Amino acid sequence: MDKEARGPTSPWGDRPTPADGETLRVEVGPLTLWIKSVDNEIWLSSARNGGRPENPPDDLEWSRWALRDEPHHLRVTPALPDRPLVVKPDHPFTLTRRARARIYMRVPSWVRVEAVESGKRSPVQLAEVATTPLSDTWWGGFLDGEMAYWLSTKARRAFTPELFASDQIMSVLQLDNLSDDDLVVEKLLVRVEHLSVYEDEDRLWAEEVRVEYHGEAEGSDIRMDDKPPREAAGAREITPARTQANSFKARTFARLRALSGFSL
Amino acid sequence: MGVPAMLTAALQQNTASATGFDLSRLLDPGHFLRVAGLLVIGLPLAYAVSRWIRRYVARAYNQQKGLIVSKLVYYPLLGIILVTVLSELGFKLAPLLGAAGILGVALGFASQTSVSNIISGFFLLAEEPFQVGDVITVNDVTGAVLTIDMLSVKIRTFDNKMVRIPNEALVKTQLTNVTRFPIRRVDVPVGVAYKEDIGRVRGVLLKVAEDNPNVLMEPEPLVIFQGYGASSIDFLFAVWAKRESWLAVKNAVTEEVKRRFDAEGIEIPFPHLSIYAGSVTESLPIRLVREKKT
Repeated sequence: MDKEARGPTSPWGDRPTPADGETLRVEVGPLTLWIKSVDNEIWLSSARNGGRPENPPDDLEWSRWALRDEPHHLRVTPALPDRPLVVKPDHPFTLTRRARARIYMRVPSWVRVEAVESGKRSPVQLAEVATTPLSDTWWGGFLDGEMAYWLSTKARRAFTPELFASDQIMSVLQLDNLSDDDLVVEKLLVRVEHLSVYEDEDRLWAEEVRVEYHGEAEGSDIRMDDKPPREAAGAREITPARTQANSFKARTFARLRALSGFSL
Repeated sequence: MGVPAMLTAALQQNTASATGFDLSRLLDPGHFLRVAGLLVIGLPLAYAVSRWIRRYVARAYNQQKGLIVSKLVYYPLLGIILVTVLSELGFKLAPLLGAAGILGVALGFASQTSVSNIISGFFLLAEEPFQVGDVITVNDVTGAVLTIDMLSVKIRTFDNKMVRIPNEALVKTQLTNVTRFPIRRVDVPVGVAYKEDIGRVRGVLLKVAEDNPNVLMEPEPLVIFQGYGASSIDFLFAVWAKRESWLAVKNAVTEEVKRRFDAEGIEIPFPHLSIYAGSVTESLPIRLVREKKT
């Protein structure tokens, strides 16, 4: 990736491997990453909301990597979280029968650091760090659920330029209520591990997810287009999806009362 | 030949004629090779086949089913090899089976407990109340299951002791599988002074849960009123965590509750002791002492 093609403040792109004794600092929202070379190893550490000191604090814990070859350069890219998101709008809304809604929500980005060695070998992933850690949550029943992250969102119906930041990925949901009942959207599951990240003039987008709701019993059809949303038609993919899936049927919506701590 | 030697020879002859056993058949190269082949190749082969089946079934299903199927294959194979070897040695199986029947009755009486444990072991494997690696509590022992064997289950306690529990006891006793499900609830009993505002206490506790990323947002954290205690208003603060983070969450939440209560000035009371000077109507005399100024 060409760092020069981006704005001067963009944290994403390729950077030369720091020389011995030098420290590379990468700032993404509240997260600061420090990367340095020590005796042919790559050392990496991170801190959040630390007041952006020029040099890493003394009490930081470092992770160390010994690579096969000395890396030619380092690549810093945004990534979506590694588990599904349970998205809870601040104010639940009702999608009336046969209605459609386009929802915009911001997902805190993860930062992926890779070492690109000379030759044609694949980059070696060194670390993935969340810019803002999300709380764990559980989706589904006590016996057959799955782990997810919890994301509270305003679930906006429109977006403005101020919403974009280097540590936020804009995710677009197209909800279609194809059932004959009203759909109360209190929480929904977004499987972000199936989504790619696109970049358009320093703005990060996830590919559009279309959810067609057929009713309580029938569930929902979920489709990913494998292209950026129409609001960012010229965007280019910079991080592929963790797992590939173009469409599937799943339980996507849930009522708040669905899982009580004292349920049997 | 003396009398004892003659008796021994006659007994051997009778036994040999009754069972058909003839040691001299081993001198025949064909018989010898077949017996040796069965023992040297057949036994390891049966073991290898059962191990392969165990691994295959464990990969396809789980370790438990792997154990069952491998044992169901191994023991019949062992029996077939044994019968074939005996047959090669000239044993007549009919009288042997008769003798085995009598022997079986005798052994049965003598090994009721062992047989019961073996059968219980199959029940355990089929019912699957736990698997290898699960953490279980039986009576007052808690530990991770190491093996599920023919006669017993072996568990490793957290202070690294091995405890052997007979299968029969496990079938009869109440057993708790601590790690069966992927999420667990962490219960933290909390008591606050009677003067405290209950709504404020509830708010502080829920904030503690919200601020810990390892506490699950759903199932949602709960603050349950338990009752008016002798020294405190008692609550149960219940949060959910991933099975793997249960202990970390329990420690973190307990520490954070104390820290937040201290910061917020919420008193955690403890039982008070009142001292009387021999009479319930008279108070303890107190003498005030002032230090001299220097």
